[in-house]
Amino acid sequence: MAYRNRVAVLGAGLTRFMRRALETPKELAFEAARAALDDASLEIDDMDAVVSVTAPDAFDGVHMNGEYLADGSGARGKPFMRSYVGGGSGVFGIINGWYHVASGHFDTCLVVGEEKMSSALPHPQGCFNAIYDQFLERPLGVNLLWIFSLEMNRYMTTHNVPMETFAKVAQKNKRNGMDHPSSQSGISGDYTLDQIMDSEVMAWPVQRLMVSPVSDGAGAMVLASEEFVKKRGLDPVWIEGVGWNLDTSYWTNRDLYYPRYVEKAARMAYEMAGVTEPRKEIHVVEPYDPFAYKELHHLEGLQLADKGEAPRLVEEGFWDRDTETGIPATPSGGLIGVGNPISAAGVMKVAEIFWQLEGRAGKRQVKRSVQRGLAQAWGDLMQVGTVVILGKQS
Amino acid sequence: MTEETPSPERISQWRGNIPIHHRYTVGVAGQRFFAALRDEKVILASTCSGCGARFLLPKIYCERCFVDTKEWSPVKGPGYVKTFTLVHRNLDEEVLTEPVAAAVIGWEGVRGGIVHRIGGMDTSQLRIGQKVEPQWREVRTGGIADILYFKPVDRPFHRGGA
Ligand SMILES: [Zn+2]
Repeated sequence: MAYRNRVAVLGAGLTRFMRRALETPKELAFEAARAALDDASLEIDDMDAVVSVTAPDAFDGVHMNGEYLADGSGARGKPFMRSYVGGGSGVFGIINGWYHVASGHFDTCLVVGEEKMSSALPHPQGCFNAIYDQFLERPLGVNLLWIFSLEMNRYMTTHNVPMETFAKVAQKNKRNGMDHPSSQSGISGDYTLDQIMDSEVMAWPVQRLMVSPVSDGAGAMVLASEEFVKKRGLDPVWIEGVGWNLDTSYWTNRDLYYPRYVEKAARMAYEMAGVTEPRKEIHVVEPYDPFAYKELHHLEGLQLADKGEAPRLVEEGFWDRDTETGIPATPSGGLIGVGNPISAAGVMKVAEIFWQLEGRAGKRQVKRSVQRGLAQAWGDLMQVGTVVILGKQS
Repeated sequence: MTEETPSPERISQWRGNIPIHHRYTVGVAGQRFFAALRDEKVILASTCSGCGARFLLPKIYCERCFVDTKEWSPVKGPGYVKTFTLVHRNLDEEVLTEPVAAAVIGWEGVRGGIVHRIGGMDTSQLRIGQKVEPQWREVRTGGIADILYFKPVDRPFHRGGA
């Protein structure tokens, strides 16, 4: 396939993530967008277009939330587009920004992801009930914890994974998150496996310390064309591949032990990036980790481990930040260690790969050298996969 | 397409709602704006640190320059009606006994404005350009309803001289 432009990443910015922010959604969007522009040493007048991502309107409690967020996202007087694929939205926003620039229509695009979940009472889980079928499932009081526990059980039973392995994933991400300046208070930390495994059962087998929290926050990134980059003599990180895929929304009709849609999204991105051996060519990965088992589930979908092999690799430290022979997974701390303001969390994952490739991840910088990395998110009725591959070519 | 039968009880249906409500924080700019309404009976505008424009409702950023706003100061003198309507039905489309006058109110030298009700006058005489000022509530709680309505500061315009 031919694109008019190669697309570079020039900057990223995040707010702190927190349980309850004083800022309005617009103010959160501004803080992140301003930080991304500052990171890229650019101004709003340098941006040709703006892309917004935010998950269900019901969280912020504003219908047409994209339009509401527009001025805080820097979109006044500019071409503006919101995209929304549930939890997959954050990474999809980068994909949307990519094709704004790749199309040749724009030289630059500012992508802003925002979520303010604390507005919804009594609990944002109530919003999730309304994403399900209104006749078959909603009357049963189904929410996200239900459906994840059904999926987790299917995964752990199929591959005979002990609970302790999932606890190790949560432990790693909560430790990694301690070094992230955006980490939500009380979420990251040096937890023992016993503390994690003894935490409250929310919907068996899902337990409190293996689930990401409810969060407020925003994240933004600045994308630009090759021509823009050359004019300024920059040597940036490039978007090498993008992929997205949607499986059936009849989630009862899929075998939940394996995320086919993530595999399809990943294969699309690998093909575009010219990656034929992902386990050798992907050097750092940010898989979507709203639940500890999801990190492993997604690593398998991403073809970075065989089916059922990701849990075994946990025991070898293959996914650890300081691995020298493995692939560090979620060096940011992820949704479990930093927080989960849904759309902003996806942007945070891509931002982490960007900072890792630029060598600017500070204490979170992985030990092995990295030329290429992958960020992935997932969502909707747990059937959408979104993937972005970034690379640094010297 | 199949039209619904005129007897709704014969249609199989499930009644549901999205079981949440909201608590909206007024935000960093809102904290200051609404506290000033409540405590000082003033309407604050913010000034952009880039282009110098003053605007309502105040924000922590200028949407044009996309930089922080720095100074805040009360709007001075009367506002004026930029446009208005007379509303004859309520939110649920029920007929109102008295039409409600709603207007966009601006101030000289300030970008933007406030949407509010107009009262204290025969609203059939309301015209664009009418100068208005707030009618404050006695007990204020830090919300837009701390202003009961905007009322004329001089006689409404009359058609055809007089
Ligand atoms: Zn300005």
